[in-house]
Parts: sequence; structure tokens; C-alpha cells
Amino acid sequence: MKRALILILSLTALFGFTPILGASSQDERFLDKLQHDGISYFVGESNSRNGLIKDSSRPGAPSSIAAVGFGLVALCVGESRGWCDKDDVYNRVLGTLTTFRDVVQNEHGFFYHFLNMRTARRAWNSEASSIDTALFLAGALFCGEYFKGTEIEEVSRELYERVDWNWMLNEKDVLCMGWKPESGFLEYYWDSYSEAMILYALAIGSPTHPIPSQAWFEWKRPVGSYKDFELVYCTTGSLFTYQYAHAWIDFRALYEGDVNYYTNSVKATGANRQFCIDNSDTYKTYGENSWGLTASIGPGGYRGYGAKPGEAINDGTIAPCGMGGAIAFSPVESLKGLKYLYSQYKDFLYGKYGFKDAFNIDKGWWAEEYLGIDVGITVLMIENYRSSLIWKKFMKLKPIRKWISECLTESTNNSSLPMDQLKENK
Amino acid sequence: MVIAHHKRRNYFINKSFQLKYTLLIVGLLLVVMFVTGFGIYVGMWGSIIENFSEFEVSQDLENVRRITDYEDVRYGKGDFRLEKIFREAQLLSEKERETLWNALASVNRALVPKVLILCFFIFLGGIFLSHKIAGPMYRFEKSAEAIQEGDLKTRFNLRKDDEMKATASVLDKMAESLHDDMSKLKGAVTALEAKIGLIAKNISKEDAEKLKEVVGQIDGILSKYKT
Repeated sequence: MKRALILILSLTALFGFTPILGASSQDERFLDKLQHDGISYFVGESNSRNGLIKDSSRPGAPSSIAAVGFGLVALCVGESRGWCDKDDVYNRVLGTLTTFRDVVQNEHGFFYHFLNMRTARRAWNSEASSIDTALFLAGALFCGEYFKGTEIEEVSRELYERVDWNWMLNEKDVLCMGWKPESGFLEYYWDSYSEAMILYALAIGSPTHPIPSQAWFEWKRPVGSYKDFELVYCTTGSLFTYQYAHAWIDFRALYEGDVNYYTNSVKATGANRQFCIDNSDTYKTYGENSWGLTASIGPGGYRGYGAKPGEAINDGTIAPCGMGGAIAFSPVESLKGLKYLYSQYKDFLYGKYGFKDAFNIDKGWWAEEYLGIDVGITVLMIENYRSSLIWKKFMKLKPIRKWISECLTESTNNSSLPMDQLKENK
Repeated sequence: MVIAHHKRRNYFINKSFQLKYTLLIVGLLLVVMFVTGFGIYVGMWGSIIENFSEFEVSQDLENVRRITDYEDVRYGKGDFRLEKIFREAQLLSEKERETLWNALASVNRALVPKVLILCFFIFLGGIFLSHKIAGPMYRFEKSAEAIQEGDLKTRFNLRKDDEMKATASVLDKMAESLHDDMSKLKGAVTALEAKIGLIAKNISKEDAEKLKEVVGQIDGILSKYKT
């Protein structure tokens, strides 16, 4: 099956891509290429026998359940665009979900962060992780909706409904980050604005073990600003924290009082880009078309790079997935930036799975590897930008409707959003 | 009476017989050692060599570094080098322990089926070999019983590949000798009976009766033996 998927992906690469928004558009072809190559990661860096996907393309890397969550959706995107055979994708998704149901260890339904690629057992003494379980389940639930009425929907629901979200509260008001059999609950909690919005949405929406909806309002919402951008910010200022929940949830019409988290991410993206432009004198890597400070590999290892407002850890390293994952928030700037990186640095930065993880011109450093979640966020957000496929399917889920009804308000007035503006310009 | 304590100083009573079985036992042990040794090599050393190769160790180190980096980013830990080195060392040692444990498990997995198969064949071999000794023993027992019951024509016939053929041959000679002696004895008694018939009128009737009685007793005993 893996060979068949690779063959189909290779043939589509050879004979061109499926046009969605106009075959003549160079941009569309470029986005096709980015998505197509990114989807290849989730086929090429997977174990076809159990469906697990590697955390990174680095040899010996374990599987990351978050990468599996992104990968499940990416395969469906590949199917929707005609790059992958429907039966192959169906079988791959079902195989992966049954592995998680029958083989992968769980604690109150929560899966361990890293798994052995071959045995699917817990790897590296990792924690039963709340956010990574949520990212995996988001992928699984999306597939359930994509293949509605099939066994995939049943298994994904089974996996979701067995998670005891209340247990992860550990008798606190906010969700814990994880649990280890050796030491119990971790001392860290999702108590401030972050990518954990997807975790809270799934936990509150659960039909079997929901946490009180009050938990949504318990995490802190620090407000900060950089230049003209005022927003609810994440401590690190990493761009991915403004993107991951948005890969599945369409926040455009959702409001929490005056706050719209889609608009918030638009502002965070703008601030991040402006921060890079403002520091382009310090670091040659930064510029108006080379921005997107997000957690990635860097010359000194994996770092939580970010911009202000926030800690703004940065050393001149840029991860293309920062711009790729922001395409639904800043389509013009993201597309321009991605095309710029491709045209300028493709010999060093672009490979068989798309953009490699990061680069740093100031230190003459180019990543050799790809990270599953970084490839994943790029593929998913491009798809949301192009067709809203993931948003449309995911927003239909009953748990999501339940969470929205308990925590947010919906508005129909969302026409002046950046991604719509870009489409209008076309 | 004091019974002298005899020590056997010659341990090779039946050299070829003992040597043959000694070699068989040594051979079996060598097979067992080879199979278990091979299992241990494949299961344990194979795993250890693979898991501790330069490539694997460098991958492990990279994984440890990456995972602690992930933790630092997610949990907002500062870059405290010494604390991080300890965490990396702990994670690596846990991984190595897991690797060794897996190596032992793979040894068990490799050995258990082999040892079970080996035990089955050793069991079959044991039956086959013991049959070569138990068969003659059974034959000796039955033949000795037949001789005791008077069948002096009985012989200690063994099969082609049976052990203790030399012993059977000696016993056959003994049975044949008994048969011959008993035949001669029966002939002598018949001749004695005839002689008594001839001399009966020359001796007293009482003596003649006594002689016939004694000869009759001897004849009665001899008639038990088939010759």
C-alpha cells in the first residue's frame, strides 16, 4: 500500500498537479507542489504496517503521535486533490486508528508522546501527553468526518470517547500537560494562551468525560503588543501556538467577548513578521519575505523561537513552516515569502518533502531534516486557505458544536478577513 | 568374616561400549551448547552489537538531545546546561536499560523455541538409545525365566543393532552347555533304569525298589527340562 501511495504521488509529481483554483495560476501550482511534497512525508516517513509516522525524517527518530494526527489529515488532503488513491488512504487511516485502538498503550485514553516506530510501544520514557493526544484525536475525528458512515468514523469516535479528560485535570481548574507512570502528573499545566485551545475544545466537547466548560475561561489571556499589533499572546511568542488549533478549528466567526482568535492570530502573524523586519539589520536571515519565528530546529538544537509580544527567543533562524502555517492569516505575505525562499534557497532548503525545517544564513546553517508537525501544519493550513476542507469538516463535529455553544458565540459577519481579501484579488 | 573392600581401578570395563556412549553424551551436550550459544549470540550479542553500534549510539544521543530540547520548549525551562546534561544522561541510561532488557527478551524469544525443539529430539534420542539397552535386558529376563522353567533350548537372541551382544553370546553358551549336560544326564538315567531292570533279579526286592525309587526321583527332576 505504501508503495502504491508513493507511486501515485510520484506520478502526479511527474505529470503535474490537480488545479483547484485555476490551472494557469503559478501560485496554485506552487501551493500544489508544497502540499504534494509535504504529503509525501507522511507516506515516506511512516511504517505502513502500523501507520505510525516519524517525528522527524532523521534516522532513528521515534514516532510522534502529533505527527500522526497531522499525517492522517494530510492523507485525506492528498485524496481530495486526487494525488492519493481513495482505497489506499482509507486502508492506511483505518490501519493507523486500529493500531491506536488495539496496540498503542494508553492511560485513561491518553497516548504517550513518542512511540517506537516498529513496536508502537512507549518510547523514551515519554509522558502520556494531553496536547499530543488532542492533536492526534483531532486528526482522527477529521478522518471520521471525511469518511463519514464508515468504520473509520466508529473507531475514531471510540478512541475519542474513551479519553477521560477529567482525569487530566488532576483536580485542578486547568488541564495538566501530561502524566508518567514513574512519577505521576507533570508539574506543568495548560494555564495560559497557547496551542492548547484544541485540547480544551475536545475536552469540553467530549460526550463521555467532559471537563467543566469553566476550564476554558480559567487559562490566562495575557495581552501584549508589538508596534501596532495588540493581541492575546503566548509566552514564547512562537508562531505555531497561534496556528495549531486553527488547523482544525475555523475561528473566523467565533467570538469570546470581543476577542476573535482568528483575528488574534492575524495580529500575531503581523507582529512576528514586523519583528523580523525590524531585526533584519541584526540577522541577515530576516526580512520582509523571510520571517516566521516559530519553534524549530536551529544551529544549537530545537528551540522555541518566537517574536514579541513574548519572550522572543531568536538567533537568526527561520523555519519556513512559520510562514506556511500562517497562510490563512496572511496569505499575501506568506505566499510571497514562501516563493521567495524557494527561489532564493531551494538548492539548500527544499527537498523531497518540501521545505526542510529551518535555516540560518547568519550562521551558514541549513537543516537537513524535516519535522512531521512542521510539514503537517504547512499542508493543513494551505488546504484551509485554499478550500477550507479541514475547517468545513471539523466544524460539523458534534463535540465542537458543543464546545462552541458552551464557551463562545458565533457571528456570520466575517467577510473582511485576510484570506478572503486575497481570493477576491484573484 | 571380613569382606574386603574392592575398588574398581579400571574404569573401562567395556571400552568400546563405554566410549560409544560417552561420545554420544558429549555430542548431545555439544549440540545443546551450540544451539544455546547461537541463540545467545543472535539474540543478545546481535542486539547489543546492533543497538550499540556507533550509528545507533549517535542516533540515541541525538534523540535524547532532541527530546530534552522539546521538553525545554514546552515546559519553558531555561537553558541550564548542567541540569540538562543530567536529564540527558538519565534518559540515555533509561534507554540503554530498555535496550538491554529487550536484548534479554530477544534471547529468550530466540532460545525458548530452539530449546523446546532440542528437548523433543533429545527425548526421542533417549528413547532410541535406551531401547538398545532396555531391549536386551528384557530379552535376558524372559530367556532366563524360560530356562528356569526348563526350556533349555531357549537362546538369548538379540537384534542386529542391540547392545550387550557379547553378554548374550556368553549366556547362550551357558544355556547350550546346560542343554548338552542335561541331555547327557537324561541318557545316563535311561541307561541306569535299563541296568536296574537287568540286575533286579540278583538283588533283594527291597533294594531293587529303593533303586527304582531314587532313579524315578532323578527322572522326575530331569523331565522338567526340555532338551
